[in-house]
Amino acid sequence: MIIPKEEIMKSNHLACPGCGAALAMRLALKALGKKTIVVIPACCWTIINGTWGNNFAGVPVFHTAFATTAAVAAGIRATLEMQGKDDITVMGWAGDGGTFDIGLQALSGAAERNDDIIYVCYDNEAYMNTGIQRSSATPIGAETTTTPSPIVKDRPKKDLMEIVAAHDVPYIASATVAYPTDLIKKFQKAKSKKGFKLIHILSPCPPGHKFPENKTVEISKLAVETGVFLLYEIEDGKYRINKKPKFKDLDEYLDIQGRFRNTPKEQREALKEAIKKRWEYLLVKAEHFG
Amino acid sequence: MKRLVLGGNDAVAYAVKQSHVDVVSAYPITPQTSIIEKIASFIASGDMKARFIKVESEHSAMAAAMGASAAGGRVFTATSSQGLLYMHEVLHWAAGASLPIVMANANRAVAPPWSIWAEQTDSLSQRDTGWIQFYASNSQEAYDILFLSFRLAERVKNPVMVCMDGFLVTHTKEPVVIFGDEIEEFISVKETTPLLEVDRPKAIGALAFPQDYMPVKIEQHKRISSALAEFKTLSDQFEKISSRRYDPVYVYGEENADIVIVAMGSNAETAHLAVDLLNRDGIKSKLVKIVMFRPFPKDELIKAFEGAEKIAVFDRNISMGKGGITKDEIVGALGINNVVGIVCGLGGADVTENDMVKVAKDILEGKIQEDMILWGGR
Amino acid sequence: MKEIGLHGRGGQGVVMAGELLANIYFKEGYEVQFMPSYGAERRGSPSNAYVRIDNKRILYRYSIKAPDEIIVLNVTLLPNLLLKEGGVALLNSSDSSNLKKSDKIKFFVVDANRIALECKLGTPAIPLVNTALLGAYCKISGDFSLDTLKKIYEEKMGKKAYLNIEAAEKAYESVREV
Ligand SMILES: Cc1ncc(C[n+]2csc(CCOP(=O)(O)OP(=O)(O)O)c2C)c(N)n1
Ligand SMILES: [Mg+2]
Repeated sequence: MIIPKEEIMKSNHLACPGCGAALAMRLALKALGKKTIVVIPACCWTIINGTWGNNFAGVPVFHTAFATTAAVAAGIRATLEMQGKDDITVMGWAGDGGTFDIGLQALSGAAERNDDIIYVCYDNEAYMNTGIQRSSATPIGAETTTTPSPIVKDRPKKDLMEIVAAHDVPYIASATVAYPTDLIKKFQKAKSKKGFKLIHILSPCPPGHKFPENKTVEISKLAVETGVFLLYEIEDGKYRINKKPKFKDLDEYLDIQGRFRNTPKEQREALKEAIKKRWEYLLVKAEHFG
Repeated sequence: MKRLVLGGNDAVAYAVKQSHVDVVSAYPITPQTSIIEKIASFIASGDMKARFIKVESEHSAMAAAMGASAAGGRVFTATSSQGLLYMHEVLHWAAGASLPIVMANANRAVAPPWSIWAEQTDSLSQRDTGWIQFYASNSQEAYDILFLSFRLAERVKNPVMVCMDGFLVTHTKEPVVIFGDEIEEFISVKETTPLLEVDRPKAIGALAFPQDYMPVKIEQHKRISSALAEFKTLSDQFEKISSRRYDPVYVYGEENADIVIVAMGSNAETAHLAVDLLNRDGIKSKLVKIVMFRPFPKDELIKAFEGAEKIAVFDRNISMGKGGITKDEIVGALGINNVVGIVCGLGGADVTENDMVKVAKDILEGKIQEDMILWGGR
Repeated sequence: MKEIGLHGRGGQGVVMAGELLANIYFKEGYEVQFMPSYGAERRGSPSNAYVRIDNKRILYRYSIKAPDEIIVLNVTLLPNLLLKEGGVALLNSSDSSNLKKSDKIKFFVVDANRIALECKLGTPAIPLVNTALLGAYCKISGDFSLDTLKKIYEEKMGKKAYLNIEAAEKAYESVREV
């Protein structure tokens, strides 16, 4: 596959160097094209897209209240339907806080109604815009400003994909910026389907996860290779694993990120255990519902 | 045109049906629910062509309305009390983003204790959200003001809330003149403008530093303030079609009144009777009804109060620790000191013409000098 | 102005009766106002509705405590009902022997339960007596014609109207003063 050459997103955006979420949007828009309307709630992307008078995404953007992404997108789609404009993609683009936490209700509502939108969660595993506080997407063992050592996050990450899968929607996929062709294909597939689509993108965050800004892609890749983040799709209820993890040593992934510096041994073990269980679970799903 | 026996909710649903609305998004709550049920049945029967998004909360109802409006649709929603409060954040957003959404609110008391009956504290506590606010005191007004609201919202690019006292207006059925095609020339004019266009990609609502934020807010304040004049223009057009006249402030009774009764919503209906009784007793009196509460009709009120000896403001609402809200607004805007505020009718308690007459007489006789709460234990 | 109270239990069609009555008066040329009283109503709990009629626009916006006339769908509620002095009470009852007569109130009775069941309206447990009672009220009030009542039933009920019209006619014939 050839990655579309055209750059829709502007390169003078306001993201931190090495921002996974910025790279993710750049690739997503390459896949979706210019006829896309984006809804952005409170999150880092509020800033990344530029202050008053700017619009670095390069497509129409509606900045909205934190919890409202999916509902606003559903409203836009409703009017487009009434106007007979069926060649426009409506995309909600929210962080993990705006998705796993405060926006979950609106997300569930739109998924249950099967509103014709692509909902993207770029997941940097904490509230980064407000300065790195834990969210329900923060992995067990991670340090944030609200889970400072020695009381690091002690609950596992919520399983967003399974929550949305329980709504019986046409398309759900995970992706990371380390596999751009995979990511682009998934957006193209989502665009081609009617109804509610979710794409969950792991988005490493150099200042939030505490790693050097040139390691974003490497860490994304490690997340997949260690099995921390599984690449798979649920298309019309059918599970498909896109990449079997190599099950590289998890410590490799943890040790290059400062947020795991103070993770106690038991929690590292718990993380390893969780990876195994999660993989086994997915295998069963893929086997029985593949 | 025909006359039908309808409640305020029915009347609103009929108006929505006739207003070429593109999108409705709403969530049920008593005593608003029959509006959206009726709309759903109009859509189901094919009498109305609109998309109805059955959202999972009021917060999402307003959010979806915002999306639909930003894409250029004519949008309606409805709520009440707890639902309106739940929307609070997004009410500011809709107004700030200049989205011409029209919403009906059934005025209902706020819990605890649970209540489903009439009180205006719900919508008055949204006073500062930047919404234009109307208060209809009967079904006909609810119907007519809906049409005016769609036009006004789009004309000044500002959302409009049409409030009706729960049950006393929403469910009280009375004859209402329903338009046939006569309204078409007025309501078919749409001044909606899509903010989100793929060939002109703009960002709406991006972070603004102080130097940018202030001008935006000044602009917004000008926009909503212009609604007073624009309402008059639209009202002139509407009057030609309907022979019914709407102004921000309505007056009834004698000039240079000894006592002016101020009311908003259903109390204003009963107040006509009080004015008649007082005039019969030789006390010159007048009703001043606030129809448009935001933007605040200061000049209209100054005119309406000309020559008034005393002014009694009946508020079916309360700002705890302060008193009646419209009373406070009047005193604040006009700087007058011949006003007595009467908080009454909370949670649907009855307010009768005899209550009003007694208060009016007591004020004139000097027996009531301070703001008061009217409660006879009924 | 005249105020009419309709009183029954949830499920008996009190609200519908009030709305029908308001529409009947309206068709006869009156100004009307219909005020259902909303509360925590459930099947079987007391349910009330009120109609005001007048020759000019009705401006009262508060509840009615003691109407001029009452239509009682369920006589078990009678001890709790208020009525103006000199008022009229129309009762759904087959038997008036237990009634405490008063020279201040005019009582009328009609066996609306029996009529409703004869016309296959409702179930033996909850006969739908509302439309029959309005037929009886037509007779005793003399305010409107049976013809107007029929027209409104047809407008509001469509195909189901004829059974209700039959019930109204039977009640019109059999209502009696006690
Ligand atoms: C209702 C509401 N509560 C809190 C905030 C403050 N707030 C703004 S962004 C944010 C965190 C966003 O986290 P996430 O969704 O993960 O996006 P990220 O910043 O990590 O990109 C918070 C808490 C807000 N804007 N609105
Ligand atoms: Mg985040």
